[in-house]
Amino acid sequence: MRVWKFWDNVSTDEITPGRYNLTKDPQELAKIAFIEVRPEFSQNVKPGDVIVGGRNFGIGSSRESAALALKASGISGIIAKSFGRIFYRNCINLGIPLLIGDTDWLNDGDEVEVDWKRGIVRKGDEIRKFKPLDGFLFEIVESGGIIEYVRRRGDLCIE
Amino acid sequence: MTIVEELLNAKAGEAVIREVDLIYAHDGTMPLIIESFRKTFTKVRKPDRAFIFFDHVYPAPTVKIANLQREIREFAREQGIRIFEGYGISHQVVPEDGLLEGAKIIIGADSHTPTLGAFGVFAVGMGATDTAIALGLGKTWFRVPESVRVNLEGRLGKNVMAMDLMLHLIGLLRGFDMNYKALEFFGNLDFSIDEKMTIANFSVETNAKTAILDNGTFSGDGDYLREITIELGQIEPLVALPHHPSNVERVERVKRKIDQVFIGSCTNGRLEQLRKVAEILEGEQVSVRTFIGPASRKIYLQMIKEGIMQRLIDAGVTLLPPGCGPCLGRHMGVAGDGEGILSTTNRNFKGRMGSPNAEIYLASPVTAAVSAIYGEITNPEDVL
Repeated sequence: MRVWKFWDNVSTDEITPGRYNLTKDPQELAKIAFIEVRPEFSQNVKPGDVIVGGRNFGIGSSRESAALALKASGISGIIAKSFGRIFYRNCINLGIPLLIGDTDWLNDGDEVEVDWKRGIVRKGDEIRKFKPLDGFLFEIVESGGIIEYVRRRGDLCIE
Repeated sequence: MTIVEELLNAKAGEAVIREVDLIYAHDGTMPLIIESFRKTFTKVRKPDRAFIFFDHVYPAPTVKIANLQREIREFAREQGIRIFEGYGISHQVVPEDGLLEGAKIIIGADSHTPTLGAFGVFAVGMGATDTAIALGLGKTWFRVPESVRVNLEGRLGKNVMAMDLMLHLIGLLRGFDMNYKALEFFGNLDFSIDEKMTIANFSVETNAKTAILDNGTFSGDGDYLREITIELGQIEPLVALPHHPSNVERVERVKRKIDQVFIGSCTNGRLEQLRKVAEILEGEQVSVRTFIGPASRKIYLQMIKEGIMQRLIDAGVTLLPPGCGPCLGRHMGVAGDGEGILSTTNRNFKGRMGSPNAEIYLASPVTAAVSAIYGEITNPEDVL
């Protein structure tokens, strides 16, 4: 799975800019992901690819279109040093797995294998451990998102 | 306890489920909320405690947006939720129209919902699906954030505003991770509510989860991660350079010609701020295109009554209707390639206000007003 490496402080304005972000259709949103800052992304991303960010990936606006656009692009998950907090919840709620840890070791174009549940990333012969989502947060992701998670349990449970 | 711990009645670090006293959203976030809501719910749990504001792109500039707004109206009618069309920005209208009464825990489908922390409440921004869950169940989960305590001492100088204080603070916090944490303000909070809302609003740009100003009822004796004391009298007019609000510099050190000035938004579009702007622009002429938009219809009306609109128009300003204006780059003053924009808003991310090749600078309404006259970023201390 290919790594798409991004910089620190990627804002949701860069993921789905306000001027393009005028639809709720996931496929249309996938086409505008990073449209101005990395226009090749939406054309070349393959199912299962991994987005890797630096600090504060997904800061700024609460627009869930940013997380939805990335999900619709087919990525398997996002690894970053830290996440903007609303974007972090949005990803979990849509069933996108996240890992937190030092990403300096990962470069654009690297091929990696990721175990999202255990937080293990393998690049060639090297294996590193990241902080996976724990407890109910990973259960939400495993359910495919919080809507499905709440539907199965009949209520919002965090135990 | 910290203020956050008092309001959530839980210890920092715990994950808790809480009933939400007030939920609101706007025309920008509502379409995806409806999408998520309809996947599993049919009835909004407390429709009288939910409100929708048309403020982001209103009136509708395209057919596509007009149709999305139609869907929102239909949903609101079906659920018995009140829509505020053209009243102004949600964070302004909520307190202005008394919707905050009795509410202690608030979520808004907008990242600047913590603006309401100016009133001593716990208000956080959430995404569409979280908001849909809260609409359907009347509750949500929170991780109780740790808090950083900010003590304010002394008084701001004459040409220095709450916006400068916040630019100063975000500069101080550079390199300190405020993510998932709260800011709590104590000490000399002798600001108007208009300026207090600027403090809470801009706190979001430090990455804080929320910000709360002491209203005199909190003990503030909790375990704070860090304490910061700020001597207000020492703060100078500041400006945030492209492309991040924490990229702060003293105005006197910035020489930059500008093409457009915007004064307004949920950050700085309130009466006290616009009164100051009108005082500066009275009898002067702006030399670059200057857009001023009040945060609400009530502010707009009061500006007419006080003769502020007359003064602004005489100075060559273009007035915008109440709402978010060009802040999010969708309409009413979108930035062109290579342009320099000076704005009193809270975000200067690349591409935020239009072209990704534009450069956005953030400053106080006073700095923006004098800069509009000179056509370049100008230190108010030099000319007022």
